[in-house]
Amino acid sequence: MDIDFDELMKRLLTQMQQESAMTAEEKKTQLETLTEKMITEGIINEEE
Amino acid sequence: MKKSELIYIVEEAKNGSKKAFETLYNEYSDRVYFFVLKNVGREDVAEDITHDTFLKSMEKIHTLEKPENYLTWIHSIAYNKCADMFRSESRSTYFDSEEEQEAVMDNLALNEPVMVPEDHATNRDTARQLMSIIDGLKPDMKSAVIMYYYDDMSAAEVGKALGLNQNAVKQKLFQARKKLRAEIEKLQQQGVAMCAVPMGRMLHKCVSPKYAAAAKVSSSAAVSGGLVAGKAAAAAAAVLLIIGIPVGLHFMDSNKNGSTGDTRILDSSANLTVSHTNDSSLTADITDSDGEVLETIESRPDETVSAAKKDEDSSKSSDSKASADSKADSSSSKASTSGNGKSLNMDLDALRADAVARAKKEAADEEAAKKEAADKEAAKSKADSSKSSGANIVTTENRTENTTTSAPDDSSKPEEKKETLPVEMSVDKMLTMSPSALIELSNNDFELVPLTGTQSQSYGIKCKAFPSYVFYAPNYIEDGAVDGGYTTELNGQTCTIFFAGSISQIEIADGTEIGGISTGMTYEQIKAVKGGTLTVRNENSFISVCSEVELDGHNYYLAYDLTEEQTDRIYAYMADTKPDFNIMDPAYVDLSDLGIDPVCTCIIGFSDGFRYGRSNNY
Repeated sequence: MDIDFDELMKRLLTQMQQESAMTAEEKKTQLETLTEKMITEGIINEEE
Repeated sequence: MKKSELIYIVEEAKNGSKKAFETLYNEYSDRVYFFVLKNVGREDVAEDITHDTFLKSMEKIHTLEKPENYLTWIHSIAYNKCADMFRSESRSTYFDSEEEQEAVMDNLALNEPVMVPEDHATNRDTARQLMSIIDGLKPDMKSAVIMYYYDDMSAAEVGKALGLNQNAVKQKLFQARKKLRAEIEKLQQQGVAMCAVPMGRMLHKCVSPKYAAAAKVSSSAAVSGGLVAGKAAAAAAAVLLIIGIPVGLHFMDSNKNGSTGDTRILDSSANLTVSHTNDSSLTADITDSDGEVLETIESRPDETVSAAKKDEDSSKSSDSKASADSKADSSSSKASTSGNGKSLNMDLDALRADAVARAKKEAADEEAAKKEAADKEAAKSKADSSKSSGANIVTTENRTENTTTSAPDDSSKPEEKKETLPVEMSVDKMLTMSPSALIELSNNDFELVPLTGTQSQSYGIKCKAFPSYVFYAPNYIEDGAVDGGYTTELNGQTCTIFFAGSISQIEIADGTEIGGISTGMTYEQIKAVKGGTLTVRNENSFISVCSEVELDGHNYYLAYDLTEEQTDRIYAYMADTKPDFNIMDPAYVDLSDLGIDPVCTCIIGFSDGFRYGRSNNY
């Protein structure tokens, strides 16, 4: 049996990633939380 | 994200740009979350660790000297966060033993009947099982797989992120591949449809922009400009990306050529027609020798880019170059492409021939270089071992198995027996040798034996000249006799082992005594030999606890046969006496205090810088 292992792994992992990804809402919430925290701690600037 | 863009964004992030941070988060959070989730297995924990990873990355981003290494760098932060989590829980929540891991994987993938009758089989089912197998890999192996295959990181980059050397990463990838391949073969044996695509691998190796351009020159079609040739290469590569796997998994439920078997192989009669349409998407028709379309596949531009990159990165493929021969030989195909109304014929036979020639030359060059290096090293080793104090060749009466060599020029001469004599050499000296040198000293008389002290199923070499030891060096094993490696038998089957690094570990063979200690002795017996002083320390999730002792001038790990209950008691005791113990700052316990007297099952010595496949700077 000859299987293109690299492509198989890539395809499987891509599918796994898509199925386990955070929802857009979860991502947005986490990004907002992080941004707020980092602004508070002075890691990033509030204004560009 | 392009490299130049990434460098710019990271520099902006260093200046505290909120927008730059948001860009980095939006670009990489999915990857980091996926990586973490597959390590820790719980969504809530993965979300927390992803959050902490990005927070820490921004706190420390000014320390990132090379912005282009951002992906590797943030993975290393994520990995360390996962490791911190494991340490905080005192011990791994995953597998305590190889057997447990195997059992879990069996339950996930194999013990369940694979109900895929012809009319109900779906590729999704099989893919699901394969995903379960990936999920069942140990965290470090899975981490390497995700970074290498999904994030397209090199072995060196993965090594940096995981705190491993490159060889250790390759070993993990090799083990993962081996595991998955074995499971795929089991699935096939169970009747699940799988498909070999020799043409795909061949095309993948053959069709690069260079060869497409060469084909363009020889083409009788009216093709103008290099763009079409480039597109042709990209298109062909894109189709490879598509047919490489989907053919293997998709076709099992759409057997259009009327055959009743589950397995379909696109053989030498298969033709490939690639079309580039006005909306930049690509379609490919795979036809049989009668021109009947077996399958039409569509690809979008992003897949083209990805595939083209993959083509460039084809050297990443782990399988040996020598295998190109058989793959290429199995197919004789022609592909025709049409782009923007113009057609281009590529004679894949010519490309195949060229690829075969290149593969053969590379294999021959590689073999010659290896042989030369091995010869030099063996000669040097022999000289060194003769010179070194206490290192001499001794003759024993145990000569029942001898290496056989044939007279080179006269096959009618009787075969000449060449004795393999045991070689006496210090462990420290052995750990400076290469596997090939040790095998040469054994006149190629060696066998592969399963290792006891590794996290995954691995094989070491037991050389006739060194009967008391089993050596381990990163390696991979191929079925059959393959040029360039060491061919031997494993489980009654011919195989070839290739070494990818130097000796990193030596196990003391069962029954061999070293410093008055051997496997099979109990903790108390060993303690008596060591003058009444012995402890165990916490180690990784596989070995759990071990004693670290000096025997004959070298440090060894002693592993024990402990029950789960005993291990729990030891860890509880460690937590009581040293609450913040971890793998870098371990706790030590004298098992006599707990009334536990386990049997020593494994004695392992490591080369400098290695301990259970991780470097000391882990």
